[in-house]
Amino acid sequence: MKKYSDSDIISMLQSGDRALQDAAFRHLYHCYFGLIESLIVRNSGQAHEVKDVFHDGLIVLFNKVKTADFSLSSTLKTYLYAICRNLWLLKLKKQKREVVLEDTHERMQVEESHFQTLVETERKALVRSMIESLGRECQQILELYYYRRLKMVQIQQTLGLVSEQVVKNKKGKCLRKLRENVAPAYRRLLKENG
Amino acid sequence: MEQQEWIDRYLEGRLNEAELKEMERKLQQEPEFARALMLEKDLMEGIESFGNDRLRDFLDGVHEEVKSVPVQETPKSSRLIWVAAVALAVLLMLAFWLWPRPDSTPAELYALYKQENSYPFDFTEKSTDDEQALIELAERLLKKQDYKQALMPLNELFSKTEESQYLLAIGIAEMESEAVPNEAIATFRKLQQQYPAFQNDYLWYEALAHLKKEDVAAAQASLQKISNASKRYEVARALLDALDAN
Repeated sequence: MKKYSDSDIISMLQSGDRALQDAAFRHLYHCYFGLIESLIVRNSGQAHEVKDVFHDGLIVLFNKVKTADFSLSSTLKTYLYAICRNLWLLKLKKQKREVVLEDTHERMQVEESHFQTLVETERKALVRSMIESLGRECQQILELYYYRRLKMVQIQQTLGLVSEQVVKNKKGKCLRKLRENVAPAYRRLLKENG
Repeated sequence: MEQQEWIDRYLEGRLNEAELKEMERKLQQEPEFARALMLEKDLMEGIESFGNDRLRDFLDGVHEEVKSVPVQETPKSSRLIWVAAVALAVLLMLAFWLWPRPDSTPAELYALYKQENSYPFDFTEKSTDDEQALIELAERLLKKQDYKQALMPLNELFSKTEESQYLLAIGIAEMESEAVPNEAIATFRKLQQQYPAFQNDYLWYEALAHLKKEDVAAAQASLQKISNASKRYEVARALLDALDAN
């Protein structure tokens, strides 16, 4: 396996180049899956839970690395370990909290906040369903530009489009289409819930 | 500026101080404007969540790739490809010579089948100098097939990191260096308990260790536990057939 330093991996994730990002994820997988597996299995976890926690950890890492003010103050291994450790603790805590919720006083509090969450969840589900209903090309363009942070030229090459300008135009059109599809139902939802 | 331009520039952090104040005023006094900003934020979050799910799909694929092969070896140069080709030719000759016959002994089958997959001795780079030095020492000794000496740095690496790659290498080094590989069998069983994601690989190595010990029944029991979804399944069936033919 090719060896990369921590800063290589960070640069690859920030590169705006999908092939480099995928290679970085593969490297992280090979290096650290065993470490997280050991953490979880030794702390009340089951084998089938490892994959989900590790994948969520990699997603959190990627989303953090993409932020403008990201800087690594430890090794990448320690950082990823800390993320996965927190995710696992949260999951354990959540399971415990469900037990606590049997208490009446707690249940009342939860129900109140649960209502707020429901409205928010409905809004997000609406947006999500509209993204799912977009054409495959629109989905890819929005994902590659806003999520993977690929440069226009990279998107052009990945999707085999004729020019960067075509990518720019399509990106604008896809976002407008999404906005137009979501807006009426969104307004109705907000009106119904005050 | 149009409403959408205000929102785009606000979300991209491109408003100056005076414009930011104006933006705050609009958000407080124009409910439609505040709703449009909320919609825009939800759209970005929706795309983020869609992207997270696509990344999860990709990682599921990587998981499938690696779950049957704990550490993949990749050729580093064309020279290595040639070395691999020569090794394959030697292996084919050896396989022809040792091809499982009804009278193949467990020792012959062990010699044949342990070559089926090259040992996963390509450890990942470590950030600390002392761990890196231990890795280099272990890799050097394993390359020389000095398995007994390699156990020292491997044990130290495992006690420092608790990573399965080192414990697997310990099991293989024990299997190669022990005449009766009881410790290797214990190590492969420990791997199955502590790192169940790669259980089929560890069952395969446990079966080999039983074979070296000439305990055919135990080897068959380990091989039969290998899942039919595993990449080891076909070779495990072939070895079971060879053992049945004896």
